[in-house]
Amino acid sequence: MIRMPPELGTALERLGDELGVLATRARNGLRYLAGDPLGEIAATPREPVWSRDKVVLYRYSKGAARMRTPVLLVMSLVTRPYVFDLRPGSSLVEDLLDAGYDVFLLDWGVPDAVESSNTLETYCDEYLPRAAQAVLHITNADRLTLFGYCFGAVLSLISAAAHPGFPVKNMVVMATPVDLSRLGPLANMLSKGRMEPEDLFDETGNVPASTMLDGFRLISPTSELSTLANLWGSLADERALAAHQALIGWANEQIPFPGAVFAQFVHLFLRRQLLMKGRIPLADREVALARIPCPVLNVLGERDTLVPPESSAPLLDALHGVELDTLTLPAGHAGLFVGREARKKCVPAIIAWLDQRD
Amino acid sequence: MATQPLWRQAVDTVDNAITPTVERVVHDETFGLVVTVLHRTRRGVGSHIERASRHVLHALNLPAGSDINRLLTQIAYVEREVRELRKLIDDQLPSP
Repeated sequence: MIRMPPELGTALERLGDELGVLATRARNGLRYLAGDPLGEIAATPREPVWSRDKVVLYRYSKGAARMRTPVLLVMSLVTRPYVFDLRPGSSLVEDLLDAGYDVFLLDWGVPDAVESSNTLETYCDEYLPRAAQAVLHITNADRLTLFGYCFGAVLSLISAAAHPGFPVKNMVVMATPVDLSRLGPLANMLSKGRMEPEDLFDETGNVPASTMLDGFRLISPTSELSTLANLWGSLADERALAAHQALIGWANEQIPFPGAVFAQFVHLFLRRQLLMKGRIPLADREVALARIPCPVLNVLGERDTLVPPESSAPLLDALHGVELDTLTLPAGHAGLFVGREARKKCVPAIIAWLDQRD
Repeated sequence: MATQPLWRQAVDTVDNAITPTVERVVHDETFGLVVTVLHRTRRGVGSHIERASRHVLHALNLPAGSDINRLLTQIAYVEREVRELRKLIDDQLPSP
């Protein structure tokens, strides 16, 4: 009988292990390419409780009745809101529910030609105040917490400042673009007047999702490389791959930006920088952001490349006189509330701030 | 902290090396000008093609894309009007 040298046995064992990992990568890679869902997305049960046009207000339900101040999550206009409840175990909604808050989500829907004429007034004077009233009506609370993300934070700030009776107890604004000139090359071209907002509209009168995505990609042109490296790294681990698929899937799933409000953002906030000055013309009046009647928590991500901290920093001047706390966290744009770091540091810090004021 | 595998270290090295250059190019004035010129050229060529094809299609008594877009805009306008009327009615009704 021939005896195998022990080194050869070890080498064969390692080769077997490597082939096993390679086979797992190949299988998972095929599943990823085929678009096979690798994990649950937006799994927390919810029900629609109010709607107006395409805007739907959802209430998340989990367990017993909640006595704490209800939280209304307000999404940006260009991305889908399911990122707030991305995956079980990596969900802001779940964390807020676990902390005892009653959680509502305002979903703007996907705009088409009908929504192309939606303006700041549509969102800040019509949808947001009415959705807030619906939350109070359903919960019997007298005030709520407004929790805005990205452009949703801008809309929340304007709406709360524009309505003296807005029933808001606290505000959390996350990754808020205030100095829009910091939002990359596309913003730069628009601010210098080389492009007009209308140049970017499609036949529906909106800025198409693909144009928004191209604009974001220009901010970090080599980010695809690290995304691909992260994908390769997570192919051997099904849980990591599911997390990657969920987050990258969301980031690539932009929605069109309603044309009229996009034009207002360009003219008012990018070219005239009125958001930085804290004075915004809305309908036939001027809204002063400094009139926000509640404490505000401004959450920034140190590694946010889409809305860098320098873009949110002028909020301090715009909200002069308002009780403003700033929380700078070691995270990127979505990493503020998605992922392991968010669960360990970011979300607990936000919940602690809310708890103090509840 | 666990050490990154060799392949990942190599990717990160390449990424760190090229990112500053690529970002400098993309944020440069010249890049902005080139993109603007390309964008305008594409729109200009597109509108020439659209005009020419519209003439041909109309000569054959067929609708062109621009006719369909005009209809889309009109339908959207009507739908907005209906929406506003419905909201007026809904707001008058007592809430359940």
